[in-house]
Amino acid sequence: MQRLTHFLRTFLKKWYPLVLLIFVWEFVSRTRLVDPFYLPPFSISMKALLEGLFVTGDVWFHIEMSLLRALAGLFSAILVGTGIGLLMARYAPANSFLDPLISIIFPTPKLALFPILIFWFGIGQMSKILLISMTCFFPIVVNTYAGVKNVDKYLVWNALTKGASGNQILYKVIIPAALPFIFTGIRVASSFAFILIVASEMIASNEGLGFFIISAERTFNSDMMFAGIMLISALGFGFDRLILYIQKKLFIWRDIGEERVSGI
Amino acid sequence: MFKIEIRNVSKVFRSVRTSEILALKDISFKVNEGEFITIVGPSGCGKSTLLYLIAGLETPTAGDILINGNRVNEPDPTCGIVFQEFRIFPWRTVFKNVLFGLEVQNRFPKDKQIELAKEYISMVGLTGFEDRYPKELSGGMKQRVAIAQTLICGPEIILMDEPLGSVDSLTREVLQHEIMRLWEREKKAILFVTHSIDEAIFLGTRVVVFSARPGVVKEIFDIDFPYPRTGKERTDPRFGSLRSRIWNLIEKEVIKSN
Repeated sequence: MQRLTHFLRTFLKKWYPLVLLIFVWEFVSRTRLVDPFYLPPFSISMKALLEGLFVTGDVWFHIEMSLLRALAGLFSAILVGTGIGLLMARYAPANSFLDPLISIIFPTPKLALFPILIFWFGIGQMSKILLISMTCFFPIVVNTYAGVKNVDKYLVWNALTKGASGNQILYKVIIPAALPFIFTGIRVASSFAFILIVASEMIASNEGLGFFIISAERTFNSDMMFAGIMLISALGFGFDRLILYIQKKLFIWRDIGEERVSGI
Repeated sequence: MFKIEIRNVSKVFRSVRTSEILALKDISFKVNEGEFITIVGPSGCGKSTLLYLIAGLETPTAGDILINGNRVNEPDPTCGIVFQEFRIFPWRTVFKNVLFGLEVQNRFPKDKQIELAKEYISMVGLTGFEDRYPKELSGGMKQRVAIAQTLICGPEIILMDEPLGSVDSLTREVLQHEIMRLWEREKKAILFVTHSIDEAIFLGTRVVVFSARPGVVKEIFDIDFPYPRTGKERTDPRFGSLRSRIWNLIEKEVIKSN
């Protein structure tokens, strides 16, 4: 009991603005200050969400589809992005070839390329996974490159004079030193992945949370629409927390402050 | 045969922004087995560069460096180096940092490696700190880790690049004595770069005085205070006269560079 009150207290201390927002939301809708057709009360939307999850259970399928696409896109981007980032940082010709391409394509909103992807790969999984992968690739490749380039030369020298081989330098010095940067890239990329999964499913899909939200809107089912929005933001938040948690465990050796830059 | 032989070594750095910089010009001296050479000189005189050349991390523009009569081509664990500002691996604990050399060289079976790491950690007085990360250590402790990390590889030559430059002055004195005791026990050739004339005279069997831009050897002093030195030497009039002679050699440049 004491632990519960302690938990509640620390929870409220940090999240009271959110609680307040929910109260205001509930209040303006219940008192019809705002037409509940446009803004259904929080409790009704929550009920719709819980029913979708635990009574009819048909929301799970959409969650599964969205997560599958987001994760497939993100992980393929991690694989390719770190690989190419490393290559560019370690091998000058690769850098001079890829750098101009990356600088041009990076600022292009990849969503603008989605029609091409649909045109080539249809509206199935492939076009969406590719869209997410392409978008996530950039922050990862750029951060990996910066991370490897920032490795303290003296740490590499230290390893060399202790008899480390080229491969050992890579695995025991360069990668551990660059990993915090790579993770920063992954964190940015994962937020992109959640944005694009919703956008792409709204544009062309018959399943997934983006589709769920847009089809609720199209059928004027506003409590379902809000339920879908709450669900996707909860997923995005949860995933970001997961990455933060992994970062904290993995980089326990770093000075406090270094990673606190945007770590809410 | 000399342990280290430096023959007419010059080093030029080229960069896009600046014109060529002559960092070292025609450096020659020899180091015997078991000597403790200290190198002192103003900032930017290429003292560190000389150590990197000896360690095989950079190549001389002209001249040769021989270790045990063989030309230096690439880094080798027989020539250990302790870098400025304790360049140890921040993601490794004290234990793992000290173990590093044995781990990458795959020397000795695993349990022997662990035993040795513990031995070297206790030699530098860090027993009990094995599981700490560098961020949890003081400057002096980090420097001890760096020294143990170098010694465990069993180098015949130890290069030290201002190893005590970034520790407080009390720790500095303690570490000076420790490094001297270590050298007396192991009798390895040490090349020790420092900014401090006092430290150079106190530790070295010989003091090599460098001047800056280009870095050249101004003079070499033999220091004949017997070991173990206790610190009392500092009050000896000969110590004072050495100090002022060395200071006179580099004074103008130190003032100029400020």
